[in-house]
Amino acid sequence: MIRFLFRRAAQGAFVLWAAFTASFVLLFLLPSDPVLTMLGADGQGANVDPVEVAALRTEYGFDQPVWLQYLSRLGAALRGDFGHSMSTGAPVTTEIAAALPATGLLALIAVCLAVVIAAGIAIAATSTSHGWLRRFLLALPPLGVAIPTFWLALVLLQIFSFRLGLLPAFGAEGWTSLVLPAITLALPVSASMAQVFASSLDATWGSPFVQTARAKGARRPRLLTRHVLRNAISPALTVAGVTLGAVLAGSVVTESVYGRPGLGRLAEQAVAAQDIPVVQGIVVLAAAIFVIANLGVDVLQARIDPRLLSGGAR
Amino acid sequence: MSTLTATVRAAGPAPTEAPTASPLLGARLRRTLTRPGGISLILAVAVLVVVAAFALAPGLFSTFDPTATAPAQRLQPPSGLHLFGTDQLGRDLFSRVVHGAGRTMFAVGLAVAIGVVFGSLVGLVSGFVGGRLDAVLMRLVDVMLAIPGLLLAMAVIAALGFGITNVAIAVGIASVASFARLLRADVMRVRRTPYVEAAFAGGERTGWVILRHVLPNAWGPVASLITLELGQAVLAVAALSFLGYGVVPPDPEWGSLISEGRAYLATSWWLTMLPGFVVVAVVLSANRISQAIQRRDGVIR
Amino acid sequence: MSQAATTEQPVGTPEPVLSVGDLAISYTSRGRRTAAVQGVAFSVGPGETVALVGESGSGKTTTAHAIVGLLPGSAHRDAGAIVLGETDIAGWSQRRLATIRGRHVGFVPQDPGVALNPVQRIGVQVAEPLRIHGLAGRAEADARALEILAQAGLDDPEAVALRYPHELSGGQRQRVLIGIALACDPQLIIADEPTSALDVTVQKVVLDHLQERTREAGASVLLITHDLGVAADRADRIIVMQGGRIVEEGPAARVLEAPEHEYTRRLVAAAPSLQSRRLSATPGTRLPEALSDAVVLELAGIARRYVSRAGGRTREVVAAHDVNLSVRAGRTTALVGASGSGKTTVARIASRLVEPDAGRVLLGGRDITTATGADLRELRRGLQLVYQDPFGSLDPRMRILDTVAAPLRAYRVGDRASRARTAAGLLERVQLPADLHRRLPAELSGGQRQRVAIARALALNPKVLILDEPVSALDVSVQEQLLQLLTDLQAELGLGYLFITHDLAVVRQIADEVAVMNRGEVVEAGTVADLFEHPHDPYTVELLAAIPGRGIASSAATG
Repeated sequence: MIRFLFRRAAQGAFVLWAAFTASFVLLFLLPSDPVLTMLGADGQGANVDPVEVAALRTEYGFDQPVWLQYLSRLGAALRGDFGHSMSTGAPVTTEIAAALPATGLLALIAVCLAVVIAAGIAIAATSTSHGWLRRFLLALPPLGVAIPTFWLALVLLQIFSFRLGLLPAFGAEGWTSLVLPAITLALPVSASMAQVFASSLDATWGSPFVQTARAKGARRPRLLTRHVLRNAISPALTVAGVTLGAVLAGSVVTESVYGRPGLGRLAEQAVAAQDIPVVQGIVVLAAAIFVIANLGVDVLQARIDPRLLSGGAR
Repeated sequence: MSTLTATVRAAGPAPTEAPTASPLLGARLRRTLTRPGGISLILAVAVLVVVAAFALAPGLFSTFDPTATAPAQRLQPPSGLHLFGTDQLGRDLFSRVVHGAGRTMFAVGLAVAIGVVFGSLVGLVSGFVGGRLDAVLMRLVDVMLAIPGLLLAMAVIAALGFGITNVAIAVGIASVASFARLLRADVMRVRRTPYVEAAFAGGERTGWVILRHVLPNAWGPVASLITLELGQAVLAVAALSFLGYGVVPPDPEWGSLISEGRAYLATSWWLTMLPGFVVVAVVLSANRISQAIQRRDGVIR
Repeated sequence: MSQAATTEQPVGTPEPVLSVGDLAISYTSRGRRTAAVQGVAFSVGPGETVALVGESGSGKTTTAHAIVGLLPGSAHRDAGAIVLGETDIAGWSQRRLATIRGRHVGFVPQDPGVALNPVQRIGVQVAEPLRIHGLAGRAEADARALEILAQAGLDDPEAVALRYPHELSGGQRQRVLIGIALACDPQLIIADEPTSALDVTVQKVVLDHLQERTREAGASVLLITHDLGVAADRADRIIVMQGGRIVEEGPAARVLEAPEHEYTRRLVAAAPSLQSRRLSATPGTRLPEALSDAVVLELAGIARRYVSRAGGRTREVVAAHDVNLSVRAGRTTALVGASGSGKTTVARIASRLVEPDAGRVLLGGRDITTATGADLRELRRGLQLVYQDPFGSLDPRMRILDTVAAPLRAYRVGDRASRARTAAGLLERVQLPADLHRRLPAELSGGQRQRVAIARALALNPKVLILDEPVSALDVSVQEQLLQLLTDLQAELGLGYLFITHDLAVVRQIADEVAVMNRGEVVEAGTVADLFEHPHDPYTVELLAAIPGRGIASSAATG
């Protein structure tokens, strides 16, 4: 188990390093000149003061050879320093730390909601003996994955805030302002989870060991709880691991529509302003969240399925 | 039992369920219609055909100039004259949606093309060559998959700058990893099958084996992913232009149309709802067709 | 609710334990209905073992599943009675049937590899039927589970109870499953092809065990099998099914010695048993003028190891060690062994698909071990392969004629039209009708596909064919037809065969020389007659003893 965890942690560290490097290559070496962008003169270049440009280049280290820039940035990143925001001048880590709690709470609620909805739909659809109910329930997830998040947000606003006046439309005051954003984030995610979980449940119901248990005289509730669920949950967990990342991406649009502060908002503004250090910080953070979530999923899966630890047949 | 009769005379008739090629399109259509879910599949194809027609010849479908303002006609609800109503400047929303289809579909097509070409190349090389190269390429793919697609696309936009073409490139780059991984898995699956080994044992050359045996058999899941990704690209392109990274007003595009309507959400619902329905219809249709391709190939994921 | 139910069923009563009357079952798929079982009626007496025999599609498994209500959702019972003891359970709901399953009818599934819950410990799974039927409390059930595992002949039951299925061998798992089926002392055990997924030596041990345990418990057995040999060895009565109907029924000895129905006669004749002899070419086969029997393929000192990683440890597996073999023109050398014996590795080394660590492969006297590139391509013409799996060895998107012509194209033999003519000729030679030329593999039956694979292998006029379990995926009657075809082709073309198989009975039908492999080594080799009559190595003796169907009379086999 320890060896297993160690190997996964090493793989995670590699992913983080690679995410940092890839974003460095992408953001610092590609066509647009960050300094010119910063001065709002990208592409025009007429009315900028060359002295000012040179000073900024020195300040951000853009005048140094590429590999030196890379090494010094990587060294700083290892110490938790991702540089300063080009638009506010504050350290990137400070900006991210300030935005994290609001998004974190929202994401947590959304993920819990998504898991409950997905599990409910998948289990109900695969357990019911009514064909029409099964068809209805299984028609929901495909609909869910086809709805754009931003449009879902607007529809919810339209109905619950403007038509019914039940919930606040914008802002981040009080728990009621969390309801619509959480649902907005949860629905698309729960749809893809429900699809995977339902097909995994169906496959497990048809597997020979469930037939063995039926031959023992077990009835459906027992089959579900003792045999089917534990075997079917693994693929759903894998999707759940990716879910956190999807929630983070969804928060960009959600926070923008509902006017909430948070990581998504920060990302939106950073891209709009081409504030490259902040974008890089967020990319690395997303990779870190992915790595941690997957580590958690791996540990859970290894606990559920003894075959994974023995490294044998899979 | 058919096997038995077959053996009596060394080789008898083929199994009874042998699918025969249907010569008539009409007969095929009727067969599709009567199958469960057949109607939804035909609807899905119809939606995509209509949208493609919008994109290719918007003039045939729009009744108004999409950019002509008419202050007297501003914020009209849907009616016989203005199917989708009018916006804050009195422009006909339906015509704007029809004309926006071209821009959105151009971006979607470019994005999917980038994903398919680069992703398939990486996947094919990785799956066929294997070994170290495969390990390196797949670690890179892992990293790309570690970052949520929308965020990755946003990072690319931050580097490239705004505009609908850059949005398309960004969405395309973000989808390379999933194509690469899928094609690699299928190439490896096919590569290990006895018939590919039999082809090598029969003296066929590597290039010919890839072209004639590996690609055709590994292609099915990719075809299904292409249509699925088509829907995903519509969502991503619309989301990015909704956030304002795409086209410059007054040119219409689906995501930006919805974004413009936000300010009038409380009073004029049609500005956001109706273009949104169009997006949902396209994505649903693409997903439905993708599912049909998977079924045909006997792959249910 | 009471304790053990061992003496509930008075032994010796004439009342049957199970009687099935006029059973009809159909499947619905894509709105089309197909009958799977029609008018099936039979009974199983107390303590009796009845074998339900048939080929794939005969409806035997459907019948067995219908008795305990384990049919899939697409199946429907159209008519018929299923009387268990004195109760007709045919119309019962799943809920009611659950009270019967495990309690009064035990079920032994087909493939022990997948029939146990992979994430639950063995002990819990063994105790489960007792808990379900309220025959024991938790502690008592756990204690009974240990007893059951001990009775199943597993060493150290306490340790086994704590293991997971993947930590047991196939034979051990099937013993566990038999233990589960017998846990509540049911009157009837239904065993659905209980050993067809196991190696032949394991098969014998498991069937012995099943027989012993059911006899002890006084339970009746309904044994579903495709193998007439297994039925002959184990059953009191045999019921033969074909196309969803019962065609013959009677005491085992009578059915085998004097089969009445035409189909049964064919089955008995086709059953590969010890009595069967080397097939000879069909009379009228055109024979070549001068038949040489020179050595065409020789393996000398072949060795190969694999490194396997399991549980974080690396382990070396010897797949082949100092293997020596030769194949003569117009003759067959069989290579026999259980799964994992290394026989497939040797076949792949012989065809240069796997590199040996040591040793040489000589084709027609030339060392091809180190040949590469163009040389290897040229040499490959003389040596072709036929695979086990007739579903996987043909490109599903290529038409039959193109598949057969592919090697010709690869070696630029002739032009397009002449290649098509050659391919058509080859297909005729393997007796496939011309209307199949434009078909895809999915439209052919298993036997037909294997004929295509043989035609493809013959395209380049090879000297040697390596046949890797070419018939083991096929029904017996198809199997026999294919072996006859191979025999005819050999006589006609003077081909040398290296025939890989796990089935000694098939060896007798097709081979002249035989080598037995166990754990990577050839433990015994010689002519077929010698080896069958005077086996020396203990493993060979064990293999021979495990062949089912020694009871089939020779008179029937030659008929």
